[in-house]
Order: sequence, then structure tokens, then C-alpha cells
Amino acid sequence: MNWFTPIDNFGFLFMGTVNTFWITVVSFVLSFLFGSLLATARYYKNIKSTYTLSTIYVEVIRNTPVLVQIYLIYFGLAEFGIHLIAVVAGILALAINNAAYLSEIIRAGIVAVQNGQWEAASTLGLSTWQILYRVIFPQAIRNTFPAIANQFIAIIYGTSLLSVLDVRELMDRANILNSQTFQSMPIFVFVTLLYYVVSIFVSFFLKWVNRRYFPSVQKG
Amino acid sequence: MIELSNIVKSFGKQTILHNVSLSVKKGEVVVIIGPSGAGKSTLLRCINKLEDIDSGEIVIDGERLTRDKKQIRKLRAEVGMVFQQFNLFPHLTARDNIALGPTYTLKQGKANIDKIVDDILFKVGLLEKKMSYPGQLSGGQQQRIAIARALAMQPKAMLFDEPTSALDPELVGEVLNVMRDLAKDGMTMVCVTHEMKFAREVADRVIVMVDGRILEEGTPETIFTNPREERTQSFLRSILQKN
Amino acid sequence: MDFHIVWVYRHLILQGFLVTVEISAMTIVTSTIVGLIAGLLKTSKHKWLISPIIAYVEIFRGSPVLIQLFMVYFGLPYLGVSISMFNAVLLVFTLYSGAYIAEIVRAGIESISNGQREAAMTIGLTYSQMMRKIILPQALRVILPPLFGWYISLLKDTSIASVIGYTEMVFQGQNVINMTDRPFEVYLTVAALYFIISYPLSKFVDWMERRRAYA
Repeated sequence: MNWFTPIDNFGFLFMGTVNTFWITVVSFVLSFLFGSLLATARYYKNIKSTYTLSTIYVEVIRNTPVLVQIYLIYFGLAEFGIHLIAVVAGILALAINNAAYLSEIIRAGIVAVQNGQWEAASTLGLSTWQILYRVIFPQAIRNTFPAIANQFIAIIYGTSLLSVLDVRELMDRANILNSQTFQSMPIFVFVTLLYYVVSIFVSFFLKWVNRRYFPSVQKG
Repeated sequence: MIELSNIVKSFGKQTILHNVSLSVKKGEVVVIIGPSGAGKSTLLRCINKLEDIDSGEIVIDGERLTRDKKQIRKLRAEVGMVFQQFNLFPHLTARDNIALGPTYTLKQGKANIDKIVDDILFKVGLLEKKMSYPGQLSGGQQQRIAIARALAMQPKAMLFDEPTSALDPELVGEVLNVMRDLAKDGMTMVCVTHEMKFAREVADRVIVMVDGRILEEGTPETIFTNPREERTQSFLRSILQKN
Repeated sequence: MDFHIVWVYRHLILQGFLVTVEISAMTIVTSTIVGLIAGLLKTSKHKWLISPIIAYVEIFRGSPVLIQLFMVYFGLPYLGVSISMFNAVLLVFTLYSGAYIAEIVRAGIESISNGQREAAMTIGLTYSQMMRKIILPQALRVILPPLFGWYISLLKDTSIASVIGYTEMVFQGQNVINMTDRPFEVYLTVAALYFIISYPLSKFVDWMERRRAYA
């Protein structure tokens, strides 16, 4: 039994952590952009076509497992001659999945912005799109920042599933190291704690961002 | 009945009560007045051990309070408390709010409890609201039910923490009437209130608290017509102006 | 596209479906018990009891369930403790889900105003009487919608057990794919079966939330 195996191979695991991190960031940015569009489409209920489409999208994605979505995009699309590189398929799947969750968070944020904001902005002569993206949207993000931050951390955990496509993120590195050294418990305990440390670090960073850029919603 | 000696209480670095001593006789009605932040509510909450004291001694009905949980529970059963925000249990009917203490703390039988509930509801004039939920009652009615809930424990004394401050002006009277009746029945009462007319009428003794200290005390007559301290005068002026 | 081939292997997928429902139902029960106890302890005043509970909740909410599965299923035998795959899956999902439920329960209990606690104390109720008669009945209204929402997440998360080879629905789907080479049709069918359970549940959660908002 060698509890130092993960320490001895820290460089290897660290590279996996770096990959996990950038995959998370790219997936988050994509899902945030897409989620914002979805949220807008879901907000305007009177535009039937986009509302219906976006609603179906959100419901289907949120009521099926992300793992199946990953398999569908990587293996399923290959059946139609669409062969994506594993990491691309993985990022795409995570973005598609989290966009649905983020859109619901953002939409709730938009709904929560007081009507007076719309009225005040329209008296300034802004167009609907200008109001939405310059006045309402920033407030919606601000009000829902903690939930959005949670979603970011959920993506970190989600990236571990990309190990099924042999994407070289942290979980995959842990598996490789395990198959080379057979030091299962030390490796998996260490990597579990590594995930925990990363998520704590990210969560502190996001709390700092929240305080720094949205001070008015913080108490005291 | 209630003996407080040299009570010191602080929250963090801020001392709320400086060496407060107070003695309330059986059947006496004591009203505590003073500007907000004077420590009136904190003093009341200390009597009921809702706040721990840093030093000093509390004796209720001859029994010195310790940190013993059983003793504290027994004391709380003997001293009723009415809050500014009523704190009725929203998921229970008026009847069940009142019956809860007698059922679990006094371990009364059901028949007995029904009688206690009816008697007390009659006393506070809300017998017809027996099966209503707090959300279906006005603020004044809720506070009367809260008083009834405390009375159902057959307490030896009652503490009132600004019982009318959260009420619309037109609902204050009905609550004060219930309190007046209680005083007439000889209940030992300690009330923190801004209702000066009530204090004048009902109190045996008025205590003026400022900055965590008892500034002066006396009969309502003395305090309201001839206060000794300048700060009492300015406080009373400011209250009168508001009314 | 050829869904006929899926129909041919329907018994395998159905078997997987039943296992998914079974393991979900079981972990819903076990993790609710664990989560309720852990959540209650987290709100209690016993500091010495709380710190291990906090550590447990933090770790199991702070890492992916996949690595937790590997830690238990491959890690325990490494320490000389043999564990069957079913027990490993049950254990991990109970602890993982229990940690999330503990937070839901804690948040629900802490949402009840302090005045309720104080009022319960002033009529001499014990801690357990206060919890059972005053705090929990009210907290339940706050807890139930996110709790059922979590159950939906848990149902979908059990698919991750397929990665270590647990024969639930996704794993059975992969068996069918190995025989048919039709990943798109099979995964789509599997997704549809998840949807059939998850969607009505999610509408139920929406309804609960609306009812709470108007109450």
C-alpha cells in the first residue's frame, strides 16, 4: 500500500486538473451565451415559435441524464457520419446540458426585475432589446449570481463524466494512474479531495467576484 | 416574585445591560419605558432565559436560576411571554396554539385542555375564532391569541415585549384591554411598551431605562408628572410629540 | 434510423429500466433518512457532533459522484474490504444524495424564524417537541419542492453507475449497442424512458412550488 502514489504523480494529476478547469470554463461560457438566448426566448411567451422551441429544449434536456446526452453526441452523431473529437463532443454536451439549467436561472432573474425598471428605461427612449440587454439582463445576472456560481461548480463535477470518452481530464488521469499503479484507495481519495479543493477555491473566487462587482446585493 | 440583581449582558463588545437590578412583587404591574436601544427587551428576554446573562442573579418565585435545562424549562412554563411579532405557530389553529403547552409541558388530559382553551378564549374574547389559523386573524386578534397561549400555561407572571408595537393603531386598544383585565385579576406583569396612557392607568410602578441602566423608577404619577431626570423628561416629550 | 432493432431488444432495456427505477427508489428512501438526520444534526447546537457531519456533507457535495463510486468500488477492495457492485452503488448514492438532502433540510429548518423557536421555548417545550410540533411541520413546506427536485436529479444521476458496470438502463443500452451498433436509436430510447419518469415529476415539483408561492 502506498499512500504517496498520488503525491509522487502529482504533476500528472495536476495536468488533468488544468484540463478539467479549462474544459469547465469553455463549457460554462458557451452554456451561458446559449442559456441567455434560451432565457430570452422563454421570457417572451407571446412569440409562440421561439417560446415553444426553447421550452421543449429546456424540458427535454433537464429531464434526461447528462451522461446519455454525452453518449448521444459522441457515439450517436457518429452514426450519421458526424465524428467529433472527444473533447469537442464533451464540451458541446456539457454546454448543451448546462444551457438548459442556466436559462431557467436567468429567466427567473429577468422575471424578478421590477416592472419599474422597464418603464424607467422606456421613458429614456431605449428600444426593447436595449432595455433587455443593458438594463434588465445585468440586474437578472446580479440577482441570480449565487445560483449561476453553483452551476459553474456543477460543470466542474460534470467534466468527470467526460472520462468515459477518454478526455484527459482529472477523473481520466485518476483512472490511468490507477491502472498503472493499482493504488486505488490512495488515488481516488486524493482525487476526491482534489476536486473538493478545486471547487472550494472556485467558490471562494466566485464569492469574491460577487462582492467585487455586485456589491449592492451583499449585506453589510 | 421576580428578583434581578446586578444583571450584566453584552453582545460581543457591546454591553447592553450594566448592572441592572429590579424586583417585582407578586401581583405587581411594572411597566418599563425608555428610548429604543435602551436594553428593555433584552432585560425582559433575560428574565425568561431567552438570553444568557454574563453575570448577576435571577430569582423567580424564590428559586435561583442556573444553567440547568430542566430548571429553565420549568421556569419558562411558569413565566408567560408575549412577543412584539406574536410568534403564533402559523400551521396550527388558535385552539392548537393554545393547547400545545398544556398538552406537552403540563401533560393535561384532553377534556381538561378543552376546558382551559375555552375559558381562556372567552377571557380574550375570541371564542368564535377557536378553529381559525393565525393567517386568518387580524394582528390584534393574533396578539390576543398569543396572550391566551401564554395564559394557558397558568403562569405565575407574564412578560410583555412591546405587544402593541407591530399593530395598526386601531387594533392596539383590544390588546391593551386584555392586558388591563389581566392586571385587574392580580397577574404579576412586566411590560415593555410605548403606550404611555396604558402605563399611567395600569402600572403600579414605572421604570425608565436608558443606555442599559435604570435611570429612575417610581409611581406613574411621579414619573409622568414630576420626573427627576432630565433624560426622562426629554424622552417623555419626544413620545408625546409623536402621539 | 432504425428503431425496430431497439424493439427487438426491448426486454434488455426494460430490465435496465426496472433496475434504474429500483435503485432510484431505494436510494431515495435511504438517502432521505441519512439526509434528514445529518440536516437535523447540522442545525443542532452540539458542536462536537456537527464537525464530522459538516466534513461528510462538504466532501460528498464537493466532488463528482463518479469519483465517489470509484473510491468505494475499487478503493474498498484495495483495503481488503470486499463489496458487491450493488452495495457499492447503494452506499455511494445514499451518501452522495444524503449530503445534498442534508443541505436542503438544514436550509428548510433555518428558514423558520427564530421567533417560532422562542415562542416554543417560552411554553416550555423540549427540543424534540419543538422540532416535531413546531419547526419541522413548517419547514416541510419549504423542504418538499427542492427535495423532490433533488429526487429527479438523483434518478438521472444513477445513470453514472453504468460507468463502473452496474446493469441499470444505460448499461443495458450499451449491451444492446454492442449487439446492434445502433448507438443513436438506443440512447435516444433510453433518454425517452428517463424523460417519461422525470417529466411528470418535474411538473409535480413546479406545481408544489407554485402552491407554496401562493400560500
